[in-house]
Amino acid sequence: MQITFERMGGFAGLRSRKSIDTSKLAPEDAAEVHQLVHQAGFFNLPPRIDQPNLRDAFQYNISVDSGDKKHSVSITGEPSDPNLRQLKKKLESLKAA
Amino acid sequence: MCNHTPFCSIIPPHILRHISENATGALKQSAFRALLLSQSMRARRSTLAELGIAAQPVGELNRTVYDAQETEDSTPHGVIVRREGDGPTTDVAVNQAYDSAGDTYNFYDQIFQRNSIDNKGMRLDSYVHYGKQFDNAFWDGKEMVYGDGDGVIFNRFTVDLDVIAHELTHGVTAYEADLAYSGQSGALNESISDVFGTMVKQWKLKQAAKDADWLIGAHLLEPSINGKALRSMANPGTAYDDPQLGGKDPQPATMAGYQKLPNSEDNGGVHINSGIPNHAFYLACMKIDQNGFSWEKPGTIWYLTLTTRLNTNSNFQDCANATYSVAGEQFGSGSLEQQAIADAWNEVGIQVEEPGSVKVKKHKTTPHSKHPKKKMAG
Repeated sequence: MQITFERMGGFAGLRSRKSIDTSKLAPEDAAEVHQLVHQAGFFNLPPRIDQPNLRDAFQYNISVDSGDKKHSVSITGEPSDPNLRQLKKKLESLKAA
Repeated sequence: MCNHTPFCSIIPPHILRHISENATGALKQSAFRALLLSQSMRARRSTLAELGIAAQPVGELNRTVYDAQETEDSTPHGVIVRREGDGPTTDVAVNQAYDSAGDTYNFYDQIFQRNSIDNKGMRLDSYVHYGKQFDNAFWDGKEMVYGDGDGVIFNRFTVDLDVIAHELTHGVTAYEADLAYSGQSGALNESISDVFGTMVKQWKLKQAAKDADWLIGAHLLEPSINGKALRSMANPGTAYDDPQLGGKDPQPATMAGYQKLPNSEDNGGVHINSGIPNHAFYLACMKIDQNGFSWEKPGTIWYLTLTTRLNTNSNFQDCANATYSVAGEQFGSGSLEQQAIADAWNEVGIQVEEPGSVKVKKHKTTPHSKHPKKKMAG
């Protein structure tokens, strides 16, 4: 599974981007990421999850390519859906691989 | 000030008010201008109130600071650690959020007779210690939220008054022009926050335009980072240059460097292209009077533009035209102030259009040359 995780904007307006190939992760991390993508129903999420009143919030762009499916989601601020939040946190904590 | 208006401050405010209410044309304008520029707070307050800008009674400052205790929820949660009137705590972030919210409130109250963010006395709630080593500060539509920074690249986000005033100004903008937060209107929204953010800082420090640093977030970067601040309004694109921040400050100073970006990139680069109107404001301040204060003439022009002219879809050109037209109304058509506004926008690559689409030519003389005296209408 190929994942890109971007964090854009915020007060500082910085861009950071990392690519993660789950086959190169430690097996327990890879399993957790697969599980969290599934649990978040990632491929059925709308392409943009916005909280329109936020200003200077981070914008997170997550793209997942599982081989047979591809999807990208752009999220403003901290997601309110706990499953998506868990996925975001996990991706934030991983180093590029 | 007396150079630009026939009425010096020696004329009592009540007489100026009488003239501004009863005279017509240039005389009315001059009297109004003198009233607006008067150091008398009472005169300024009633002038703005007569215009219907600040009809609300002055409310009371009501601050509450919450400790989010490193939680990072979609809606911030926390425990109350300081209420209005409470003394300082041992927590620096709490005191900074409290004090700077107070300075920003007092600035809007004393300079623009604005009764808090919504002009109706809205309470000011701040959350500190949001998230773990969180590298950001934001406005969530109701309250300000500050992270502690990672301690390697970023200091705590409560450290700079201009950053806190920037966040509160997002609230003001939401209650006024409500500039849509993407593309050019979004960059204008960001610029308005930097413009008033730096004004609050300069006001607190009592700095003239030429003495101010025009930096946003001057204490936000940790010492090991190669940078002065996050943004420079005097020289956009020069605030930092460090691989840990992704390289060089990407802000353009002029339209030649405008970056057209997709919405997935910082809502179309709202924190990037804001450099252009930021620089226009800096230039306007320097051209109007580099020994003057940003929050006086330039601040009045920008505030009236924000509160009476801009709307959700306004772009840079709209803002340029509006500031030019407001400057004409406040200081006289063809005044030094109005020409300075046209020149400032022209330098960033935007030619001001007068109603009827006539482009305004660049002023030929030096910015601080004496402007010919306007004729007074009888």
